[in-house]
Amino acid sequence: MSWIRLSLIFLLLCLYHSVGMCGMVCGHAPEEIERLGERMYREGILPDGSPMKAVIQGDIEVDGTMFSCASCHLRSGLGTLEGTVVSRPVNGAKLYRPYSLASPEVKPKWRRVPGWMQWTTERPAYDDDSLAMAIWTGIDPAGHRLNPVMPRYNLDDCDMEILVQYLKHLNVDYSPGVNATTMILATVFSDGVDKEKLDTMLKVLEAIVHDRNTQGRQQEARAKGGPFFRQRRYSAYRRFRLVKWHLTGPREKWEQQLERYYAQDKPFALVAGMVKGTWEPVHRFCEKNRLPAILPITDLPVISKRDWYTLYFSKGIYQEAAAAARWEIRKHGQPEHGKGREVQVVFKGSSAIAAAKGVDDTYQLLLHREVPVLYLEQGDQSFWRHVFESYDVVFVWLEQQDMETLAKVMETWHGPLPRLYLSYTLSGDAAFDSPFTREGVRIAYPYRLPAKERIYIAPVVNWLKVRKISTSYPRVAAKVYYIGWLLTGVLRMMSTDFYRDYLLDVIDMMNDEVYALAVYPRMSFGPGQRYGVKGCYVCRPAPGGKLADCSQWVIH
Amino acid sequence: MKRLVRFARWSFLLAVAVALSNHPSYGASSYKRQVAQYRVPQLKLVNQKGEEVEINGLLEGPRPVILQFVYCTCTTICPVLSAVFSNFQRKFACEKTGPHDLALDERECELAKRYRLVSVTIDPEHDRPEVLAAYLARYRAGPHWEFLTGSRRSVDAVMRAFDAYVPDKMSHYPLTFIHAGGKAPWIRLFGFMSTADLVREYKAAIKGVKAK
Repeated sequence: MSWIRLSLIFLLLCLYHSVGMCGMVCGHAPEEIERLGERMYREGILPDGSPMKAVIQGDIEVDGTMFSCASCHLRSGLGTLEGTVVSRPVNGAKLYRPYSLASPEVKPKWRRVPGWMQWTTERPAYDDDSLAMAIWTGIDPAGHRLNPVMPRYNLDDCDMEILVQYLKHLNVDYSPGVNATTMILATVFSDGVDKEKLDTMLKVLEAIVHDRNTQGRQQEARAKGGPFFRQRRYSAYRRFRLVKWHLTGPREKWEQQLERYYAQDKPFALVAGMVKGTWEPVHRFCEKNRLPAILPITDLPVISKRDWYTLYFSKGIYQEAAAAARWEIRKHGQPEHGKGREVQVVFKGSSAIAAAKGVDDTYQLLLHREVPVLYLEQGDQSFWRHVFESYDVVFVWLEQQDMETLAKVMETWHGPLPRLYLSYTLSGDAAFDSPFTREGVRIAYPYRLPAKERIYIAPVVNWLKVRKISTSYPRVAAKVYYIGWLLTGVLRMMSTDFYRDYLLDVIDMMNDEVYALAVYPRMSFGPGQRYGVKGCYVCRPAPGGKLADCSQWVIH
Repeated sequence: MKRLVRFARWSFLLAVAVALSNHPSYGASSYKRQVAQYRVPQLKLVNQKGEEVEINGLLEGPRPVILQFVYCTCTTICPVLSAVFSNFQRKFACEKTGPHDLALDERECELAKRYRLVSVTIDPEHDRPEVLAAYLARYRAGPHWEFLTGSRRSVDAVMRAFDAYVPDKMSHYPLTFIHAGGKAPWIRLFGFMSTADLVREYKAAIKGVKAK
């Protein structure tokens, strides 16, 4: 009896010991492995803080400061196709299963294809050892040599084990928000936004969802019985379900409301969206929950070099101001001494302070100095006379309702006028009133020039007509229409790889867009690029709301 | 019967072709080389310091030039191309030993040491001078390496001049161009190269001979 008891104790001890050690790699706990592995994968930095070292093309020494695994295989690990080079998926779900580039239904059903005739795109499943061997030597489990542009990494055993464990657990399970039939998308809006703009956004989104879901029966039938592309294309089809998150009350309460909505219905991504003021609360929420937000309609995005989960159309009014500053610097260079200085005027408490930051950042970058900001409190004509007398260049970041005093002063001002810059988004139609059509006034204009815009927006207007949507805000409609167009293509590219990070990776890898987005001349993302439209025109406001003497699309 | 034999023969040839096409010779240098004449347009681009640069003066001057088209957020192709530049800077040495036909004499050595590496971005909207400077720092670029950007129109014109135009940055391909300076023709190299390949091609261009 006692030996049975002893055996049981021994077994329990073994079990306890194995559970305690479970997941430990070289003394690192699982959470630590994920953090260290992520840093190796994304930043090319080893656990000791030094860069990973590798060799490509036989003799090119590279290290983690130049590029990392994620540069080619992307953040999601699902890989990419660029030019002539294919980077294969390296997420756990794909690595630890046999891989074939061909769809299962088109592969020969007859006898096994002999090894020497097999495509190099076929391989058996990796295990931990064969994966480490591939990273060290560039030989896959089928014995194929990987493309020599794939780095052969010089890692010690512990570092290799950390990287292998990270890859093994990278995007193994689908992200929330997708089931076998449906993908949930959410849109966020708040109190205080223009009612008609909001209405336009919601109606266009609903029309996109309706269009998508009417294909449902056909797509699902093809997924079951279609001759080709069943698994890769048609089985990837999901109906859309749109949920609306309405934020109310003060902005400080928005986070709680977002958390509550998120707990009820976890979406795969946020699409469009419109809130009063800056998008920041939603932006932070998305970063925290690793939730993609696709192209919110906002002029006040968060300007960040590191954040990843929100894709914006542009940097909004920050970008208009930065373009005006760049144009001024390139055109006129450093101001002469004496009077020659720049100033910015912002209405106190206004969100236009974002524009002032755009000018400031640009001057800091190009001329290593700040541009002071004067805060306008109320209509004070002497304020403007002082500004005109004292400065060569005035960046005026005022909203339409705050332009009246400035217009009055300009009407009666007969002295030399400083170079005056306005923002189309902020000042709107007020920028075209007669006092501002004088020589020396310039406006940053963020859209396609009107003659071209009319041509590009016509198909969108027709699309709206067919769906019986009328609006005074065709630009809002065109932006949301573009989101629908983009989602259709991107989801087709994603196939059944429903990972949130991959959604963003695929958008990053899209071709530059020059026609489907009616309101901007060019939009392009790229890995880590989070603002699609990067430029702006600088024009002279002319009577009748026209633009004259427009610059090229200012990007530098 | 004849038909059957013909069918069997074609099937065999097809099988051999498939088998061969499935086993690319990775590891061996697989780039293609062409000699070409290009007319560099007269326009200005901006370098990583924000300075304007006359592109034809830079590329067709007396100094030897090696040129690539890349962009800073590129995933696969450009990191490899830029790493070759980075390694070339460190590994190019004008030793007078080596294959007989590539041994440089005194005058050729003097010329070869004055090389200039030029990268031109194909994503000018994103790749502003400050972004180029950060990219060059990552690749430990020395003073011989310039990275240029400009307006979309100017960058397109340069790409077209080198028969390297792509309407979209995602569809680009690995190209390296070598010009030995003066009136020498351009050497167009398509594909990925090792550092040794580039050094060999560069020396061959300086000597005015074919490298392989």
